[in-house]
Amino acid sequence: MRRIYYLILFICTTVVLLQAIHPAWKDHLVFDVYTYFERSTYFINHLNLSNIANEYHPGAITFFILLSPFLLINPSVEAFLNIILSANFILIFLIAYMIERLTASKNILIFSLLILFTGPIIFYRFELLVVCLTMASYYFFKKNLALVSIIFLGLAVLTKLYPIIYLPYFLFIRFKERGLKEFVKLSLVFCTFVVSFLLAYLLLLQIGLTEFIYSLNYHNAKPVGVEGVWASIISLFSIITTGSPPTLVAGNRTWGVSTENFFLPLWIIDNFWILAIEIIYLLVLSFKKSSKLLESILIITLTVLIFSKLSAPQYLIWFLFLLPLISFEKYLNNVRYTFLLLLSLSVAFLSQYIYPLNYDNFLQFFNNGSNSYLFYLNVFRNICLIFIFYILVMKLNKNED
Amino acid sequence: MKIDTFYLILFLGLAIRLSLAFLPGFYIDTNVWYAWALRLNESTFNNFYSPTVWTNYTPGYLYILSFLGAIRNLFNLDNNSFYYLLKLPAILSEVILTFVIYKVTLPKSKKLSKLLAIFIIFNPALIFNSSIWGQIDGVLTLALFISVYFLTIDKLIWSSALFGLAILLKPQALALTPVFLLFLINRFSIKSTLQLIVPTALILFLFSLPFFITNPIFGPLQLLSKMVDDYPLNSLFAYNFWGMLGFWINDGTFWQNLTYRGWGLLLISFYWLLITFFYIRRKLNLLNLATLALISFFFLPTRAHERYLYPGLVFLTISAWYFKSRVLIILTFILSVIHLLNLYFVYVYYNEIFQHQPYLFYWEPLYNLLDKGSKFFSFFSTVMFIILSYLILKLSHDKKVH
Repeated sequence: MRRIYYLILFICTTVVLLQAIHPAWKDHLVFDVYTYFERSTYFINHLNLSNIANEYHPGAITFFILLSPFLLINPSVEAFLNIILSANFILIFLIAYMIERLTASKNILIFSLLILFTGPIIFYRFELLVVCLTMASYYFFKKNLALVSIIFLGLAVLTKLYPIIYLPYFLFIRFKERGLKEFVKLSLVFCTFVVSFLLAYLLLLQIGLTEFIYSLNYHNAKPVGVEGVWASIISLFSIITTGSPPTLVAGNRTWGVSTENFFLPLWIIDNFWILAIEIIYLLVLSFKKSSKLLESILIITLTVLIFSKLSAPQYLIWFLFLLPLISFEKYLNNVRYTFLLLLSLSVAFLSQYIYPLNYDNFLQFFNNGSNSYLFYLNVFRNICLIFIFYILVMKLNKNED
Repeated sequence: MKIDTFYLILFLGLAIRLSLAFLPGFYIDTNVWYAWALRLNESTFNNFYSPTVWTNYTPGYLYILSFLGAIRNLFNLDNNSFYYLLKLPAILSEVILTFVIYKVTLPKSKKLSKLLAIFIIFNPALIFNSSIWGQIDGVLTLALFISVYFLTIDKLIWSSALFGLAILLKPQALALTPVFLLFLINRFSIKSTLQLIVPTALILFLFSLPFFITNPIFGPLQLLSKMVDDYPLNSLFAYNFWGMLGFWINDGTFWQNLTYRGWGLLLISFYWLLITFFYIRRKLNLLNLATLALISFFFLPTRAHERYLYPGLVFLTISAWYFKSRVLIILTFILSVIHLLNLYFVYVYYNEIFQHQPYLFYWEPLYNLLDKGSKFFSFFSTVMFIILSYLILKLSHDKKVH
């Protein structure tokens, strides 16, 4: 059956790839690829990245550079798009392989389902790379190869900053199991690896420190993402108190909502996720069993997605594509897990339905109040996210297997 | 709570189809569905058929179109949503078909039934037919399969009624007529004859009546005759025996004092003589008989469309399950891929080349290969047909011997 499950995955991935070339998806999603193309072309022409504003992190840039030699054969954006699509296609199978190794080949079915519901966005971003690296880190951690695990986590952090939230948890588990020496060793390895990679990156690509700091600050400077939980709360508050939705604000290639009429100041919204993560850490660290590792990772990821002001649709992939690591039997034999899967699929589909399929109409709601159903669908999606969070926390709290 | 993995597979199959249904359907067919759905809601069924508007279609699916048109009017659906809605009956039929096949075959072996279901629900050619093209061969095949199943368990009235419904959906269902005839010859009695003929006739009459109130007997027959004469051509892009000569050649063309059509009928008659011989000697069961009937209907007579292979592919998969034959399933898979290429070529030719829709599936190397290699693919498919027929007969013989 193993080969058949891979065949099913292949069919599902091909289906999403077909959607990916359809204008309804492609016209919205392709813009990021233009930026990747621009960076890669610049590198191919200059063999460095100095004097170019760059918002991407070193791992992501390395990924683009690794793909850029293909531009020597055909230096067009369409060719680069095909390269990105192919790279992500391969990454899907790498992730599937790790899912199989960590659980059972049946779980590839769950992964296939999630791919279908998440849609073509997976092909136009580099989230799959981060998921792949994070999963590799988790894989080696489970296999008791903590050093390799921490290196992969370092690579993931260098590609997107968010996997840093797993580091304290991994370190804590090792500290509990092996003591302080192991904790210090792993921390040092992590820091040394990340710093060495960074230095090599800055020197080889001739990137100034200012540009690098700019890339770190880029996401911080974004407004409160229009699809996120915070935006839903702010919008509902605005509708109740003023009768109209908040105004749209744009910044750093993101649409957000204004917090002018909201009762909480922006700095609280900016940093609320840190408090949430701390509370969640207290909860997950109170469990002695390391068998709760996966559930803890899922909850930590979800905490960031719910409580952070940043809410790009592709971020959901961080969480969704870790779900196939839950035992297949749990999904089929346990009402809560079945419900969890259905909710996650709803979240994935609604996200796709809003972005990119109806994004212009969705934004119109904030401009003139029209297409309110899209706004409420998005609110529903966020409620589903919170509900998933609740189910996972309750599951963890009950300490059930 | 315990859910079978099969349901997850079924859900996945449904999700794939729903994900692809957003893509544009086959321009001509989906626009015809669209126009008929509206027409059926603007006037009475009796006024549907017209000499001025092309309405050559049996009434079965028109009921479903009428229902879909009513939904459109009720919810004031926009065009995109309505085109999506028009694809849903075929998509749901394929899911139900898989479910029914799984349930019917389950008592023999759970693992094999699951494999059979996987091969049907994930067959890319079937997915393309319903979710992208927007055709309803899945609806027809569902009726055909249930009809054959009832025949195998001696529920003749139900089998006959389903057969009648299948003919109303698409007249290609008549491909199964020899199966029913052979069944009757083999087990002749007045009772079984009546049980097999009356329900079909009643269903055909009753469901046609609202469309032919003024001419209830000859009206449907005239319609059938018009449909048969709609395309008097050797092969309508079908990779079959006639495709080896090229497509769209008048089947009234003579060869050795006989028209192509005549040769086609002669070929299928010889084929059936052979099959009858095997059946009479009790070396073929009804299921495999139906498989041979459906695939031969695509490969041997003239006037076959590319999509006529659909029911044959489903039945071939079931035959592979029946014989537990790896070779048969591999050959069925290869034939499915060729069929998918056949559908792809026609879809791209009409939608993207002829109708100038935006390029979505057009890929020059593949399109050119299919365009220039159509005779080769027809030859290859025909060879596959011969091998498959031989294999089914041989496996039936071996099974009987053992």
